Amino acid sequence: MSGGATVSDRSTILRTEGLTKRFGTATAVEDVSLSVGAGEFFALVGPSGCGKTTTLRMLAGLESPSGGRIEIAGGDITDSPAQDRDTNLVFQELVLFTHMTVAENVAYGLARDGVPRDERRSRAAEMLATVGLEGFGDRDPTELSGGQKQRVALARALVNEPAVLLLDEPLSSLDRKLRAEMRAELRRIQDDVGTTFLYVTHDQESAMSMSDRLAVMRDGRIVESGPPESLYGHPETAFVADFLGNANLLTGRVRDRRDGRVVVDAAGGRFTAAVGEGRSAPASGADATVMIRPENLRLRGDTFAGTVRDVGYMGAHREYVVALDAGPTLQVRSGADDGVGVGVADAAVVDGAGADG
Amino acid sequence: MSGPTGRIPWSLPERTDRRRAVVDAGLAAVPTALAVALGVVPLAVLLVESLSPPVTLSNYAALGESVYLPVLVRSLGVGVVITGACLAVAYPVTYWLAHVCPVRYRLPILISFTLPLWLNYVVLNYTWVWILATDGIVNTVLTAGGLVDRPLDLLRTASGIGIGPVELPGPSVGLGFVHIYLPYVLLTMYVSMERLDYRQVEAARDLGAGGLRVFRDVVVPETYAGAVAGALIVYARIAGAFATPQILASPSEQMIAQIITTQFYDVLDYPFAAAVSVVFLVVVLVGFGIGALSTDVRAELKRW
Repeated sequence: MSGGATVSDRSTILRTEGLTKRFGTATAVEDVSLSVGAGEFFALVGPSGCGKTTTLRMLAGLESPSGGRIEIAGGDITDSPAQDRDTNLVFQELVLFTHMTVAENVAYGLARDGVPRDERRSRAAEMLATVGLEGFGDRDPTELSGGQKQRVALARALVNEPAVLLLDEPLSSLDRKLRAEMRAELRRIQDDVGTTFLYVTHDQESAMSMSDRLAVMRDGRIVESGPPESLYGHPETAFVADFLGNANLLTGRVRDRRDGRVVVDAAGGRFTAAVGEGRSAPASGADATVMIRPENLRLRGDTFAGTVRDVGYMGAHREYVVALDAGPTLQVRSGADDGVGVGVADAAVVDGAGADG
Repeated sequence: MSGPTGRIPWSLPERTDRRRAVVDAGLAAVPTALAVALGVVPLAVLLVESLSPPVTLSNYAALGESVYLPVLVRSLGVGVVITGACLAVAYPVTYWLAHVCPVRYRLPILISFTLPLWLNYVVLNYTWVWILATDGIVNTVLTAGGLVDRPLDLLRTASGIGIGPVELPGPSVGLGFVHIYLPYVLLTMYVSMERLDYRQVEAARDLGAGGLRVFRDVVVPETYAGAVAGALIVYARIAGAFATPQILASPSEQMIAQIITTQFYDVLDYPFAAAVSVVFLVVVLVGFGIGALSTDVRAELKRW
């Protein structure tokens, strides 16, 4: 429906304000404020126990918030029960109804919405076709494969067209290959149906490859949010830099500012670095932490001097661990035949994002 | 290949296996014989007795014509009603215990459910006499509180409310029965309820199901086997109970076990008493068989 829309002309469909959940004295979620646009694929990502699933359950109405507000399409739903909310949840363990057929599972939400039987049947069949399970309606969910169950769970949650589809790491039980396949499928299905997706995962690769925007959570709070490219390339915090991928973090001193970028002295080298998004450039002479992605470094440059300590063959590339003469260790990713037999490594920074320490 | 060195070492296990089989059979024989002697033989004797003198069906014919048939129907009816009442209590209680109650309180509460099982059931019945008598605790409180002018007739009164040929049990006998048989149903249901995946409840709610729908669409289909198993365990015992109706029922609420006892001890008509017993047994077994047709229910019963 809103397939061609850009982020800017999307109206906000889901908004939370200061959402907080305490279990006894422990705070699971603290002051989470989110805003998700209609038709957007939004990912909530963070390590285990960061509160992302609790946040999702509060949005679904399966957990009641200790504080804050939840709005869907401008209406306050903070206190409305799960069955009255225009959200559907795809559970991590899928939780198909084992005593019903696949078609009955898919049609369940429609039946609860009072859709007449004939329409239920045709809409369930249509949705099964959308998720690639045409003709599976009479099957018993227990005889399906993992990937097929996934699709049934998705169809069941999508069929009555919720305002927001909530997904709780539904791909985590699949093997690597199937997971990659399902990621592409999820994107295709989302483009197809145009429903807003809010996807929770601890797998940053899934989050970045599927989402329009993502928010990184830590210890119950949102640390940073934005499009994957800007969070990966120009994170504001060391935590996000490290969580979204391998990152070299160097501490150094700002020498100079040039066109919104800074020249930094760190680990015995001098190089220019971009400033993290939403931050003002640090003044000359200030301490700064610089993040350099391993793929933005190359061997045989002239910025740093050091020794290759370890080479890991990864198939498509090699990963080098380089001990710099100035102390810190760098991870460098390079083409598979790029640096064989290199003894001493220099590396040049192609790009880096500063985050002042 | 002869002599001690030629012995094949792996022939030994075979011999041990055979020896073990013999020992096992010997060990099993005694309890099996005991079970047959205590279970099957008395039933055979009962059947033979019900067909005497020498061989006749007159005892069964007499049952059909007698005033005892309504008693049999009433007993089975009481069994159904009380079993239903036990399930009606057990469903919400076990659901709460298995899915709402904090984990650390579950075991103590479950144990407290079983406490009545540890007491003599005659004593349990008499506690209701003490509670419901005209000078019992309920009436004392009610009259002292000025809620009633004179004590209510709660003990050994018939309900007077009938559903077809089945009359609902009176207050005292009803409470006594539920009190005594509820623990069995609670324990059986709890096992089932604990295995109900709570996320199924959440999934149904998420898709728009209210409380009753969740109960109908998820809780019952996932736990009915436990409910049927619990019902099968208590149903026959309630319908065939002696002490509870003897102590707590009104004279108009006689049950089948009282008839059989009277025939054995007072009238000394053993063949007729045996015939009543056999008919009751057959009716109960048919009910049991129908319930156990379901594989889910059989699996649940095997847990006991």
